[in-house]
Amino acid sequence: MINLARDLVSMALSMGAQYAEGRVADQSQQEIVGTDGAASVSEFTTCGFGIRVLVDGQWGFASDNLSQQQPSESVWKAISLARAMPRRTRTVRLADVPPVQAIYETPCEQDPFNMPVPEKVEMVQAIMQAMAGASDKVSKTQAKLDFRREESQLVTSEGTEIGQTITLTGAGMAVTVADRGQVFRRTYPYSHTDFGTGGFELVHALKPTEAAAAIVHEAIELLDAPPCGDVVSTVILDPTLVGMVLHETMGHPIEMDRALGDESDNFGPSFLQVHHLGDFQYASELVNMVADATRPKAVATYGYDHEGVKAQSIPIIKDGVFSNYLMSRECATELDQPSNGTARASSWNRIPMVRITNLSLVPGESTSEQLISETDDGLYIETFKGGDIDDKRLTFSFMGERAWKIRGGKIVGLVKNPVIYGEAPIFWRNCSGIAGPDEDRVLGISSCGKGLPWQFIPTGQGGPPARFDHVKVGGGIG
Amino acid sequence: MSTDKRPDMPLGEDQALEAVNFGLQASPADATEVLVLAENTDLTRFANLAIHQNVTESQYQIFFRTVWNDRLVVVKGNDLSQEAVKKALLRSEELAASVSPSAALPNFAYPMESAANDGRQDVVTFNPATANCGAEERAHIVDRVCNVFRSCGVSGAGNVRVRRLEMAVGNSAGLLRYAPFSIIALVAVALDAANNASGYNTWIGRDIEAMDAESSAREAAVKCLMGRSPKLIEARPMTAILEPPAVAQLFFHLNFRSLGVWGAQSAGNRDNIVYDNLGERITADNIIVYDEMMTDGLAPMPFDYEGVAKQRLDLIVNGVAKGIAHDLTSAARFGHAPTGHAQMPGNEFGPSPQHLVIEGGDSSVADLIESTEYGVLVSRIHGFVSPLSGKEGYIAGTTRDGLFLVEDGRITGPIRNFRWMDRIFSAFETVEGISRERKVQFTDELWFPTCVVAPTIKLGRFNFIDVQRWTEERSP
Repeated sequence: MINLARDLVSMALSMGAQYAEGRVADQSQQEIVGTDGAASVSEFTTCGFGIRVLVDGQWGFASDNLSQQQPSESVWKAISLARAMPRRTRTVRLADVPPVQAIYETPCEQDPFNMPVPEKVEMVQAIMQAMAGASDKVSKTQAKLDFRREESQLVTSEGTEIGQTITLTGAGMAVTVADRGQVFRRTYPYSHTDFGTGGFELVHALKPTEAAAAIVHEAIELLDAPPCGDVVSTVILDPTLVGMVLHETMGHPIEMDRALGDESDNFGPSFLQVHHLGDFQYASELVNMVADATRPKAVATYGYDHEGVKAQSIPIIKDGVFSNYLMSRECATELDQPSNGTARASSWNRIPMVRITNLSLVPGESTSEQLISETDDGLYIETFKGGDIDDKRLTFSFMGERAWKIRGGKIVGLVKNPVIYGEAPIFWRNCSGIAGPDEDRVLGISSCGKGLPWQFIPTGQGGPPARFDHVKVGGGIG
Repeated sequence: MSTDKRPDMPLGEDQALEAVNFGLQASPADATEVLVLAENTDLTRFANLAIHQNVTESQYQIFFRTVWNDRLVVVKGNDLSQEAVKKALLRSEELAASVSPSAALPNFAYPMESAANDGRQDVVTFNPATANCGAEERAHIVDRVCNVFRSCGVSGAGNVRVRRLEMAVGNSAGLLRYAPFSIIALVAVALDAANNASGYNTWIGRDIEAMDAESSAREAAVKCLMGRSPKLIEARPMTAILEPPAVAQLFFHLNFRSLGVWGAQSAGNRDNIVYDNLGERITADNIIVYDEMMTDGLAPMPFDYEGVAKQRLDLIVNGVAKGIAHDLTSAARFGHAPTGHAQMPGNEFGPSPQHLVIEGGDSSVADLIESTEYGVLVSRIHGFVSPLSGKEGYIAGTTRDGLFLVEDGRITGPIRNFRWMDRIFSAFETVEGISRERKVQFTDELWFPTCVVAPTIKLGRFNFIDVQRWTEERSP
């Protein structure tokens, strides 16, 4: 692998590139998917290489399957692409980064790829059996284990050589219950498969078999729960919702390439512009948020990004003020700053671009019990079900699977279909309480989409439960 | 298939079929399907009227779907060598020993039967001129778009993508099919950030000769100029005239992108309003929706990833739910014939139509506006929505790239974007008019682009619930 990456770079330099970055990757995925008691196994592998070059300040990138072994053709294509459009492109500069020779590997206590497949299949079947056996109202059971590994080698013309092995482990389940014409689906730990970096120990930590029966009973409770209704209310969000609200309302707006307009032809730019940096009060003073690519076990934890910049923890929101973008080497030159190590590519056939890492709301000093007891009239919303954000990352809606009504500081009943909606800065400025570190939790998704061609990449997001005042709830869903 | 000279194809027909054949011959499984997908994709993106990304990709994928003693296993790789194929088949056999018998197995004989009866095998899927479109020509297209934007006094972003695709599929029942594709797509987004305005247009097709970059750019620029300095009005349920990009987004999200109500998977999950209401009226009676790859303007795909010939599939006829898409597996489970809409093995969302067509009506867009006392003209719906319920067809999202107030039969000005939340089929029960003119819209998350041929549709009521209030001047 390293020899091919070195060859790519040396060929690129000999063909006229002033900078070259060769990346070779071997990706594997194993999925065990259970549906209604039956488990199936799928395995996917892909190996290839990509070469990105700068020629006279213009980018070119080409990629090919590893089995093709015609790297010189790809290098020439990349050079040709960079040369194809002088004067039509903007001139690229790269922030300095010291050359690095390093190896990084995700710590795995129990390597999921070395475990016998039947052991994993049995777990999926046990989860489904636990759900199916919990009630005769169960109409569908689903469980999934998902393991991914990327072994990659990055070589740059500046002397960087980095080998990385990143292992992701994911698990999740869902039950559908039906009774008297009503149907409800409940998931665990939330509507996405929850991923982290690490081995099978992450599955054990979720205790999925133990959770299976509980979510069946929770789903049955929801069949008879009244709808949430349309109100403006105080809401307390659990970590799954805090995470996804963070992801969409803070994570995407702080991608600097998006702020510079590079995503305007796809899902849109960002309302957060460079002049906001350092003095825009995005959130209440209680709010601090970090993007931390070093957080142990979180899904977007790595050693170095795909430009060879060391992973780091970046304070994004400090005391409510927008304080940092996520930046690639190219973006960082706009601020005359160093890159903060967030340029990642989803595979060997994609360019590195600015990506969300692990976002988390920094814990406060409260507890969820305290947040509830201080709330006279509100909702505690649980389990992210879905959400969206507009093309400027301003207006949003998010839905939980269930919510608890709060009256006079006490939980008084269950409601279903809670949807919140609003505008990001207004919502975050109304944050009035954050629970402490004991309740801090970051969840991981495997496929946040961005870029063209599409790149789906793992991101982490979460934090402790947090409270927000004056939030619009409902929207007529009933 | 077209037999024109095919430049720079990733594999070529012989090599693609050779890989499929070798896999079939080497497989000791009870039944085997081998699918080879190959692509060369070139993409040029621009933003702020300058190219910022210029990339090319060659990629193969080879899928082995094998059945061993009623157990179904999927293994995918990107190495077509005989050694790698043998290794993948061995691995399939190992995995099969671990898994449960499948509740429904694909009938691999069906694609062969459908191919034998496929009267549309000669559909032209490839255009050498499209496939030959290189970096200079893509840059020239970008130049033409940017020049229009400059002349209109707006900024802009967009992309030009050229794809050369090959699909070869075979199975142990004797099927062997191959198709090459050429596809070119243009996206043009006109931007005037200072005035909070944007305009969008897109074009996709098999033939580069049919693309009119200037015209596409001009439409986007005009919409952007019309949308400058939108005023704030309160959102509430009201009449909405949805232009093709708005209609298409709703249909993309009813499709695999969110709810999947045109396919069998959500039916199996008991979360599919169309399946639950087959034979019942679910929209106004002037709504007719079907899937048909042989529609003018669409890039045709003659068979699906299982090799089943694509035929027209009626989804809604005169407001009545008529059908959903099935692949071989769901067909076995539901006791239904496959419809030719299988997706790649191992996909997460099941069979889905990719050539959706909404029948046009008898109005002009001007008629739809002139007949509106009070409402909005929605240029586009953002591609990211909240899928709230497949059982109810319930979705939430936002408008983008131009929202206009219509009063007393005319457009009176741009307004700030709305948030909406509605049961889409209920909203389509209130259809008050459909335009004759239609446009092809596309989305490209899947290997083969998914298209909707969409008219402008006037809804008597669409549930707008909020407005974008925050503006730049509110920041410090």
